[in-house]
Order: sequence, then structure tokens, then C-alpha cells
Amino acid sequence: MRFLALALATILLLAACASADEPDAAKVEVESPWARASAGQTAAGVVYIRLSNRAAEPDRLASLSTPVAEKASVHETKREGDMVSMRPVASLALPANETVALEPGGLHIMLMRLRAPLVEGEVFPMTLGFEKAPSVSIQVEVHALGASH
Amino acid sequence: MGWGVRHVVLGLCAGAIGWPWLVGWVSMAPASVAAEPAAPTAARPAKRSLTFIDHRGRAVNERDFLGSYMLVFFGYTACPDVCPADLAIMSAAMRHLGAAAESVQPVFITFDPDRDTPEVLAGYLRHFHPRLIGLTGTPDQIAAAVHSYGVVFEREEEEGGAEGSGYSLRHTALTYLIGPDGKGVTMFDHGSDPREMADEILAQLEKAALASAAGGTP
Repeated sequence: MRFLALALATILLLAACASADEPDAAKVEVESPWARASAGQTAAGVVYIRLSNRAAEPDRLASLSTPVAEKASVHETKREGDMVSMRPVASLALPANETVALEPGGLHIMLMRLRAPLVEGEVFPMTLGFEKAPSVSIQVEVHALGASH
Repeated sequence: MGWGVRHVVLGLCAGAIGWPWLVGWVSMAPASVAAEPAAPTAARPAKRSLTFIDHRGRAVNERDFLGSYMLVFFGYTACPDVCPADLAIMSAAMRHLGAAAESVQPVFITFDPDRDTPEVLAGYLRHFHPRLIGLTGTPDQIAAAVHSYGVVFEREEEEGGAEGSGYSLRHTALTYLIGPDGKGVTMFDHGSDPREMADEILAQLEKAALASAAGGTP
């Protein structure tokens, strides 16, 4: 009987912990961030990343900041036949329970006016702010200029 | 956000996607005339050799490449997403070619000669295939190449101001295979598979070898 009570208490406690984690709370997970090394006097850099909105509500990427560049913003490369075009994305939508991948040849974060070259093997910090989810600070790894992942 | 306030069109080819071999871009002219003050928009260039400055600062004439296959990609070093990816693909395709790579000269031609000086190109190219040659030049020289290949490069800049640092752009992203006679053989899309690119180049080399063995011209 004592054992059963203990077991019940444990279950209740676990349940309480789970609800403390608030499944409905806005949360965006950030995975595998990497940047291309910059070359020569290139003033622009690029960061690729995966953003998973773990909430039941849609969210948006609201801000990006990093000490390595004056400005960071999301751009999208699109193919139009033999042409490619790149346009800024004002506010990246993060649908509920979905992962948005920023990968070469598609969505990417542009780092404008780099303050120093991005050197392969180094890491730099970046903070992502969201409309609902708490902001996330990450370390971005710099890969080779010709890397594809 | 005043988009499109400044619209810089470096190369806007009249004939949308012109195939270089259809316009006969290899000059029959005996000598090139560099530094001709051509009006970029009214340029109807004629049969004049394309000339460039390479990443080592040397004057280059397109005829210097005759006798070798060329893999040509147009881009610019400040291009963060597309150009490094396609140059990496070109470099990987060169490696897949094995010994046949010796008959192919990979070439990167910049759309942005103002910023892509020979020194900038040299720093950039170090990250790709060791035999990759970078070509820049005067704006007129680049405009002539852009016209000859029928490639397009348009850039719209957001005007200055506090946030002014965004821009949008549009450009051709094809990799051209040019034959030893200077005529276009085929072209590859942006994001092609390097192995498929190498296989296609090998097939073209083989076809040309068979044709010349049979006594015909490729």
C-alpha cells in the first residue's frame, strides 16, 4: 500500500513536471547553424539554419543580431528558369509544429557589412528573436566557402 | 522600405537568353580592340574578341582558350548563396573528370568588375578548384561578355538610411561548356549534380574524339 502511494505520488509529480513544461508555450528550437567562410573583401556573409516551431501556434522570426555584421536578415533565393533571384523576406513565418530549413539555394540569413571576415573553423554568436517564443542565442560554425552543408 | 529606388542593371541582354554560339561570340577579327569606349546600352558588338583581366592581373583574350574546353560560370564574389554553391559544384565536377580534367579550363567571370578586382578574385578562387581562372575587366569588357553569353544581372538596392542594407537581385545561374572551337556545347542548371555534370562533359569529349577520329570536325 505504501508502495502504491509512492508510485501514485511519483506519477502525479511527473505529470506536474510535464505540465510545468507547458506544451502550449511558444518555443522555437534552432538546429545546425553554419555559415560560409567569407572570401576576399566580401561584405556579405550567409548563415544556414533549421528552425522548428514546437508550439501549437504559428510564430515568426522577428529579429536577428550578431556582433560580426551590421545587419542580418532573411533572404530567399528562387529559381526562375535559367535565372535565380534573391529577395529579402520581411518576416519569416514559422508554422506551428513545423520545421523551416534555411539551406543553400533557398532561404538563408544574409549577414550584411561583415565587421571581420568569417574564417573557416571559427564560431560566432547570433541571437534570434521571435514574435512569441523566447529568443535563442546560438553559436554559428563557419564552414568552407565551397561547403554545401 | 523604399525598394527599387536604385536599379542597377549591369547586364541586361537584349535577347533574353542568347546562346553564345548562335550569335557567334568567337571573333573572327584579327586583333582585339580593348578599351573601346562603347556605350553599354547601344552596344552592338560586333565580332570582336572578348577580353578580360585575369585574377593575376594579366590581360586575357578569349582566343587564348581556343583548343581547350571551358566551363564558364558568371557570378560575383559578394554573392553569398548561389555562386559559392555553383562554383563548388563546378570544382567537384572537375575532380570527377579525373585525367580528362586537363582538357577543361574552369572559368569564373564576374558580373561585378568594380568590386571584383584581380586581387579580390584571387582571394576568392583559393577556395575552389586550383585551376579555376577568374576573369574581370573594365565595365565595358564585362558588358561585352555579358552580352555575348546572353546572361543577365540586375540588382535593386534599398536606399540608404537606418535600415538601408537590403537588396534584391536576379541573375543567370548557368554553367556553360564551351568547346575547343570557342562555340557553346551545352549548359548546366544552377545546382546541377557534379557527377552528372562530369559525365556529360566526358560524353561530349568522347563524341568529339570519335568525330575527329572519323576525320570530321567535331
